[in-house]
Amino acid sequence: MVSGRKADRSMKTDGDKTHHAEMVSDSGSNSGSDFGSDPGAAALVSAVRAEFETNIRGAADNRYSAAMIARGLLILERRVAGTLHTETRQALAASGFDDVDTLALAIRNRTLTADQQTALPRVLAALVAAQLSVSAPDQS
Amino acid sequence: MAALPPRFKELADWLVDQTGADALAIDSMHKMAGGAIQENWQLHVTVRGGTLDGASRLVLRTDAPSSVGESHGRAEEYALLQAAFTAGVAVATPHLLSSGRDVIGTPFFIMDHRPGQAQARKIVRDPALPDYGDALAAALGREMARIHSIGTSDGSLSFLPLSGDNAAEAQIADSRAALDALDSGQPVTEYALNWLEDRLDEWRCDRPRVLCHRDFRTGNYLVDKGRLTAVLDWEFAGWSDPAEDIGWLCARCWRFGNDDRTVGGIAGFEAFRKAYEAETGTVIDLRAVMYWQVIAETRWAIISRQQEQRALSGGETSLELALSGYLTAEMERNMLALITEIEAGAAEGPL
Repeated sequence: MVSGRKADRSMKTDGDKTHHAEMVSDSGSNSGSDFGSDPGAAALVSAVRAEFETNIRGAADNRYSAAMIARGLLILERRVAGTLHTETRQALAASGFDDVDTLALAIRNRTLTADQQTALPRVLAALVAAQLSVSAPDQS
Repeated sequence: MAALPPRFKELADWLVDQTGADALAIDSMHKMAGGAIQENWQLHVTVRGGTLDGASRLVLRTDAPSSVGESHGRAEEYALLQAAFTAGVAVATPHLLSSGRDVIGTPFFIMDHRPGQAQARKIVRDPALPDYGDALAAALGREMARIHSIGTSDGSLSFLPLSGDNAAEAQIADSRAALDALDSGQPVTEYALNWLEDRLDEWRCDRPRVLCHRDFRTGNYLVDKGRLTAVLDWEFAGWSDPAEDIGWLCARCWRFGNDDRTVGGIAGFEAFRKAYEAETGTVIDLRAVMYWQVIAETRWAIISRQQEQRALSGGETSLELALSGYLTAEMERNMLALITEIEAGAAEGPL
C-alpha cells in the first residue's frame, strides 16, 4: 500500500499547490535542510539573540512569550550554523535512502532490504540525534 | 460595566435570555492563559435571579483561530462535559451552550469557574509536590476510573465514532491517516507504528471500549492547594481502551522533566494504580499500558507536526505552533527508547 501522503504530492498538478507543498516541506523542522552557512546571517542571528537576552527578555511582561522567542532565536541560531543538513545526510547515508520522505515510505510499505532493516534502528537514532542537536542539544 | 471586546457585546443579553435572570452584568472578562486550540475567557459577573443566580465567576470556552483535525467542536465537547459531570467526574459544572455563530461569532459554552493551577511546569516544580503527589495521583486515578465507567450505551455521546474492531487497530489506522496528511515523512513514527502493529496480540484489548478522555495529562487538570479540582479539555475524548488514558498520563513526554515520577511527573504509579483499581473493581493491564505509552509518543509527535504545519503553511501565524515541530525529536527519542526497553523484557508497568 503506497502512502497516501506521497501519492497526494505526486498527484498535485497545480503549480502553486505543488510549490506550496514543497515550500512547507523545505521549511519544516525535520527537512534536514539548513539556511546555508552564511557567516553574516549567523552573526546577525547571534546578535539579535544576544540583544534580546540582554535587554528585552528580563523586562518582558509576558514571560511565556519571551521564553518562546528566546527558544525560537536559539533554534534559528543553530539552524543557521548549518549542521543539521550534514548530520541528516550522514544518517541517511547508512540507510541507502536520499531523504526522509522516501525512507518513511519504505518503512510504511515494509520494502526495506534485510540489511536496511538491520541498520534501521541505528539510522533512526542518528536522525533523531541530528534533530535534537538543533532543538535540544542537551538531550542529543 | 467594563468595556468588553466587541465580539462579546451581545453576550450579556444572551445570558439574560438563556438564564431568565432579572439582572445580569458582565463586570469584566479576560482571556485565560494557554489554549492553542481553544480559548477560555474568565467572566466576572453579577447575577440576580434565574438559573445562575448569585454566580460571580464563569468561564466561556470557544474556538481559537484554528484547530487540530481530530478535536471535537464545542457542542460535542459540551455533551462530553455533561456526561462526565453526570458520572460524578470532577469537572466544571456545564451551564449553557451556544452552538451557532450569532452571539460571539463562534460556538461557545459557559461553565463554572474552578480554582486552581493548570500549568504543568508550575505543578511539577511546586516545592510542596512531594507532600501531596501521591494523594493527587490517587485522585487522578479515581477521576479517570469514573470517566471509564461511561460506556458506549450512553446515548448522549452517540456522535462519538466507534471505528475499527478495537482501539489499538483504530489508533494505528488513524495515525497513518494523519501521517498521510503531513507534508513531510516521519520515519521514526512509521517505524514505531509498524512495531506496534507487529505486536498487536500483546496489547490489543477486545473488551468493550469505554469513554476515554484522550488528553488526560498534567496540564489538563486543575490543582488547588494540592487537591484536584477539575479535569479540563474534553475536546479529544472518544471510545477507547482504558490503557490509552493511563499510557498517555504516564507518557514520558508529559512528565515535564520529572522523569522518575511516572504519573504525569507528579508521583510514582502505585498510588494511582490502587485508587483506579479500587474505583473500577478491575485490574490495570500493565503490559498494555507500556504499548500505549509508545502510542502516546507517536500521537503527540504527529500532533506537534500538525501544529507546525498549520503555522508554516500560512494558516496561522503563531510562534508557539511553529516551534511545535521542534518538540517532535524528543517524542521520537522516547519511542526508540521505549521499544528498546520493551524488547529487552522490561518489567510490566509504565516505563
